[in-house]
Amino acid sequence: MSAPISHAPERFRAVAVLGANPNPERYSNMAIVLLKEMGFPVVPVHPALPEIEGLTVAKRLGDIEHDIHTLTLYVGAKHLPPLVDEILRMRPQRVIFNPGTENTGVIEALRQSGIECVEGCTLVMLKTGQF
Amino acid sequence: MNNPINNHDVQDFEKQVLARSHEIPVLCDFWAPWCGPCVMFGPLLEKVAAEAGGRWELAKLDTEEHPAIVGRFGISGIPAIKLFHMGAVIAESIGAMGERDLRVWLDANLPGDKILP
Repeated sequence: MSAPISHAPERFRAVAVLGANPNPERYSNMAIVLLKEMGFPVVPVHPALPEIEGLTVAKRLGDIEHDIHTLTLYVGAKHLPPLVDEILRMRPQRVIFNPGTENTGVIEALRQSGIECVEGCTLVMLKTGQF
Repeated sequence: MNNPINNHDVQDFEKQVLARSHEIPVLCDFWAPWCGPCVMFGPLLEKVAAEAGGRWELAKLDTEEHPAIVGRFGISGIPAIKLFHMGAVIAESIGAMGERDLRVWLDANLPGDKILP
């Protein structure tokens, strides 16, 4: 297991980005950049990369030690079911299913555990004051 | 060829969409220049609008320029289309679609005469 991510959130509403990507043309990267610009503490999650956009990367959700308010998803819907238990242990208040990540079974499982699930685009939500 | 009368960028939402929809159905396309699917879907909407024979109008709303309107309608994903008639939304869809599906969607939701041959 990789080393835990130890930096604590400096503000309320820390955001974890699952499926983080260093490519600036990818929506997950755009989201990380915009979240940073707007002052949100951001934890990119990627299994191999140590750093994205100057942020320390968590190799998996379980490596994040501090509370995460919002988990935003940028991994394909079919890859999500094995991650449900990890998400439930993480207990974010909200999970955003960006376009292409919607998985009704996962959404139902998370909602049954009291986690708010939003099917929407993080970028649109940020840019229009709905985040 | 696009008809500038039935394909316009929204500057004044109240006038160009809500008020106008009392005269003719208005299909509002909520899009953004950074959104790949939006950029692909836009020209199809414009093509179909140009062929609509004045039965409805297309209004293109850049979500970057009108965040308050996007929030007002609770739009959290784009491209999104909303069909306005008599000042109200009568149908809506999120995500791009192909031409056939778009024509079927319009035929199912436009008030009045059907548009499919």
